[in-house]
Amino acid sequence: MWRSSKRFCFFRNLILSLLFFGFAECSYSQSLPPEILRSDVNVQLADFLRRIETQTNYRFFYREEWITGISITDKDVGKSLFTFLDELVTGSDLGYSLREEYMVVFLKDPQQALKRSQLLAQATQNRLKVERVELGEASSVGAKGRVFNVTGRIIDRETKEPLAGASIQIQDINLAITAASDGSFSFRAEGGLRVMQVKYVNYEEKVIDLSLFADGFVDIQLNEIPAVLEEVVIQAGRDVKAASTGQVEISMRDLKRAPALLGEVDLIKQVQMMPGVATVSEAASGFNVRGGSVDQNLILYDGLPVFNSSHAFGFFSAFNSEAIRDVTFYRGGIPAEFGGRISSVLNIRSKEGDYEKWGAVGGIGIISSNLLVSGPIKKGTTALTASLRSTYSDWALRAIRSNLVDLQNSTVAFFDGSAKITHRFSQKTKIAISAYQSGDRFRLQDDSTYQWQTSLQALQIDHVFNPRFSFSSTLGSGRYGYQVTDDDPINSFRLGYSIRHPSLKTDFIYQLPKHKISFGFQATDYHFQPGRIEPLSSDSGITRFEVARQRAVEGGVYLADQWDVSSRLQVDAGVRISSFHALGPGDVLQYRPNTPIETVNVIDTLSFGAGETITSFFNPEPRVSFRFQLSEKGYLKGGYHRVYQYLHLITNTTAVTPVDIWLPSSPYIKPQSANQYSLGFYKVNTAKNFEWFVETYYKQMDNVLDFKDGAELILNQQLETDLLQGVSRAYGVETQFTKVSGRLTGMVSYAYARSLRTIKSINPLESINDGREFPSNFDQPHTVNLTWKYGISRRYFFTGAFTYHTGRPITIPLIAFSVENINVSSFSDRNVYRVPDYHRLDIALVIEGSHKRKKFWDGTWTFSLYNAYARRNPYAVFFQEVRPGILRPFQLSVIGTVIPSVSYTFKL
Amino acid sequence: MWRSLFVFILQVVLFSQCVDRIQFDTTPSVFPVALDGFITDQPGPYEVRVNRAFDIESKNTPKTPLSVRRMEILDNLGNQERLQEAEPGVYRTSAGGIRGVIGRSYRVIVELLDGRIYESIPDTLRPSGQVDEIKYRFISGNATTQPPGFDVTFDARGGAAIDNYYLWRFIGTYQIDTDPELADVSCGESRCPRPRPCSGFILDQGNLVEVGPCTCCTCWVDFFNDVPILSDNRFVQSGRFQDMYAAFVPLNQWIFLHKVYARVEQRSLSRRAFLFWKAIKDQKEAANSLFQPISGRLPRNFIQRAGPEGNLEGIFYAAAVASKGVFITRDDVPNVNLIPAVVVPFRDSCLEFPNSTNLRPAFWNQ
Repeated sequence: MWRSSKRFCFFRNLILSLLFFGFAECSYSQSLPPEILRSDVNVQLADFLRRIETQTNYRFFYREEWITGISITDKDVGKSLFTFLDELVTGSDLGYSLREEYMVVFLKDPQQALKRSQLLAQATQNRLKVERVELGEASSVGAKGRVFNVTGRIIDRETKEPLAGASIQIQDINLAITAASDGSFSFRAEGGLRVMQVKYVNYEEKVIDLSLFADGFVDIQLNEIPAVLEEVVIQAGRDVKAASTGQVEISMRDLKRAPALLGEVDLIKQVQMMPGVATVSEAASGFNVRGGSVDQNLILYDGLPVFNSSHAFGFFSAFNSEAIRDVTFYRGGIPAEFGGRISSVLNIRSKEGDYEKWGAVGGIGIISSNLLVSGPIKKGTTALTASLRSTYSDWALRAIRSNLVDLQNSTVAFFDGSAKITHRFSQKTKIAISAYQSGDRFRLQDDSTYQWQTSLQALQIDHVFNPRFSFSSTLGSGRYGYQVTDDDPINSFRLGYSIRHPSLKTDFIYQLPKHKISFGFQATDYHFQPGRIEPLSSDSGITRFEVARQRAVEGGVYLADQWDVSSRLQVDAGVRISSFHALGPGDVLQYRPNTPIETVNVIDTLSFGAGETITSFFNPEPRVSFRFQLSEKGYLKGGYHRVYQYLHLITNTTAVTPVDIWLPSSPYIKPQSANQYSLGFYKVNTAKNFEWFVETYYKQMDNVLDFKDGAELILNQQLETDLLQGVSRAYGVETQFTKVSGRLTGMVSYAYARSLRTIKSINPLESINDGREFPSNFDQPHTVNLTWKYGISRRYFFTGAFTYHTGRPITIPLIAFSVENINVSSFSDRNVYRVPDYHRLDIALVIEGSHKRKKFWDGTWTFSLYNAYARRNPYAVFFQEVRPGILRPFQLSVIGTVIPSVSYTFKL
Repeated sequence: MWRSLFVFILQVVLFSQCVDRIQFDTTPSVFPVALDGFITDQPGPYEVRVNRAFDIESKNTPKTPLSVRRMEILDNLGNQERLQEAEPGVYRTSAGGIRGVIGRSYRVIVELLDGRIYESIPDTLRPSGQVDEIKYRFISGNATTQPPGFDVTFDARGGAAIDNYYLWRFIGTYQIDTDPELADVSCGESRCPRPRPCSGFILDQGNLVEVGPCTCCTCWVDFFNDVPILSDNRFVQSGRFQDMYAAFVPLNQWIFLHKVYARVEQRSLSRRAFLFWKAIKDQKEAANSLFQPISGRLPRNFIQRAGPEGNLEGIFYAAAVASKGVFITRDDVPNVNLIPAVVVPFRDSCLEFPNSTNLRPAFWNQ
């Protein structure tokens, strides 16, 4: 027992002051220390110390149980007090220190206390907020080793929005947890003085100095990060202790500081800067993760899948960065919660409105401008946020007078907007209604007009049953579609495609002291309109035609456990059972067994009625990953996951085009699957402000889709006759070094990655490269990325990015010959040549407004140079007909020089 | 100011775009052999051509005919005929020789001089439908991008089967009249008459003297569409192909010197042959497109049976053929003054025109 509560408070305050001033100053100038007398022999140590207190100015602070049973012996007689104490603590878990020349403070486990003091001192040095929280009184401590339950909630200080995914590390016992979707968390720890470190992307880090002597609730409020604080663009390393392999959180703030093409902040391009992520060309839509194709990435916006993530053929992201609250990218261990794409998950969550006050954020750029307004509809309970981004490129195009290009009849227009209303019924229940819409319109001179749109609507309910048990459910609907129209009277037509996907997803989280159990289900009802063409005038020679509509239901149930096996070992294990049902109505051709899938081999047709199951797939998807702490700074992480993919992007071009289509698995298009193994070593040196990791992986993918030479993919009723499926394997090593704080921050990464495919057909002549393994279209063995941010002053930043990757494989014409007087070119085997290597440097100067927290207007200027040394990187490689039938390869560099830009963002 | 800035930067972007040639080290050590030919249900003789493929980097389009040691056409019933070399690289069946029969499959075996033997994949001759009607419509055009002429379309009929694979070739034929007796050559600083021998004239003491009939004054010239026309099962209605676009016949002085015969030939194809032609079509249509398919490789149709390893490009296929034609005359031109006149006579043999012949086609006087 403590000697008194009063003394304990004093003791605690003393400890704190010790921590702040360090232990090293153990000296005193009092008169000579007292000696142990003969009369002290056999006296209990506690009684001895009391005698010293009565006879001198010395005061001792300790817990009775620490020294119970210790008494003075003959050998101690004549020793000075401190000689005696030194001998006493040597080899034991006790320690002591002397402060202010008269206070002797005993410490249990001094190393831990030292570590704790260092953590708090370092937090102070780094100007982090340290908040003291007391749960219970020290006097309430019972038996040694008693364990207490701590629950809590992490929210935004201003908006009161829960910060799901925020990480909490109890530093002195190496426990790491993350906040649930409602911001809640819980853990159990032995009583005592604890240091909690709370982090969340875009928010100020906070340190909680926790006195844990009873069960209790900790309410943590974080401030959105002010500009003066340091952070990095990609925060993978910061989550080393909490995250599974390959999980990265993206800082939207630094994303906005990075140089960008025409000043358009681009989330997807930021993703492309990560090790293990590649893109096929300049400004291409989508990205390739660890040897996977573009369609193997699940992009979620408020929980709903997005099928087209770009504007203007991939030049700009379809997401307004101002409307995004947080982004998490999983390229390695995909949690059991997610399914349906085999390479990665990019989980984007939109901002909630401010519950307290109205405000606005906006940006003015060369191509587009955006505005976001946010505020309370009913203060404290209901909030609204709405954003709109729109281009004025049409106006600008028409303003250009040129003899070279006729732009008068051209259109490059896009917009995106979102809105979200959130309402809190109570601290435990919240509802959110959100919508997202984006659209593009593209027409160059008198060519066809391309239009494509995405719309998403979601209703989300979050409810906390109790501090340990919560759930979140999202009922949503989405639609993606495109139209191509041509108004040439002879061949006027409208070609269209669409996919509609209502869905329901429910997740539960149950937290136990050492387990975080999550489970839930998901169901999506897909309605495909695979293609339809119709004439636009009576003179048109186009015949109306529609590919039969398709319907499919994808489902998944999952159970996962994040288990803190020990203070050093954390295991995330789970399983997802995915299912997919292709439903009628529909006709399925039956092909002669063991023959190529061609119409000449059709032997029968099976007809299915509405809602009748055409084919079903059920697949277990085990996921497991672990984190093992090798040392204070080093971690070993590994994982395995299997994922199935039931929707496929049907394309035969290298870059994604707006007229590519997504189709479901069917009796002849098997689901793709991937088995990925990864292992990595991570090092976090907080003292030296750097993080480093190296990770290796091997991924085996089955049933990857390819196409036969000459395949017709648009408006093809029997698409299976033009497709081939094969196997793919990808492997590589990724390493990244990040400097996380200081005036200069940044990241340099290198990845060696291979992506190889084997496509064999029953008909050997239809096999690709005669059935031999060949590089995939996105096989880019070497990738180097470098990003940095240098703080010239508190408001001026010099930022930049450099990227290099090996040129992608390509198939090119080699020879030509004549067939019935028509010259034709014959191409090489698939992907045996490579386009020139890609490299580019972008730099920017960012000038931020004043950093006063209370201000009406906050503006930031960004001046950037994209492609600073004017490298002509290929946007597309195409084959020009130099003479009839004779094709030669050319490259189009859309960005052929330095592109300057200026943009201005403001916040009210 | 903002407007100026926007426009300036957009101009930088738009006009910084550049197209550069990419050079690859592609020259093959040996250029493969290419073979093309087909057998039909119409009377022969049939031709199979053998040439050596050429480098796409070559400055011209060389044709290098190749002789072979042996070439045979065989059917699935054991009938066969050995082809004879009619001219370099061109092998023909005999006039009364093998003829395609619907339902049978055909293949060619060729043995090259270096000992390599190839065999084409057997191709079944499938029934042809018919070309129902050829239609044409005058297009007045515009001064810059579209010259005046006729759009030729056709209606055709195939079978009711799901795999309606057809190839249509458009052949336009027109008559030209030239003046080969007026041919001249350079002699010092002036030009001296040098009538072509086929003109029937000779130069006698500086005077042109007619000594016989002209055999190269009147020719019939064929022109084709460079992109094959293929059926698209997506747009078949009861086996009928409506308003299929065949070709554009420009209104120039030679084509409409007299009249032009617009003919559409319909060939039934197997799926294999169809895919081959489709690859050619795709290649033509995708040329210059930014979103070209990844592969432009033509499907392989030959299996090597013997000899050192090497590819044989091209195709041999079987097709039933039906055709129909129609004359487009000067009277069909709304305003005959739109037809340019031949201001400068062509002072050479009419056989100098590509794809020309001095044999009057049988249909010409219909």
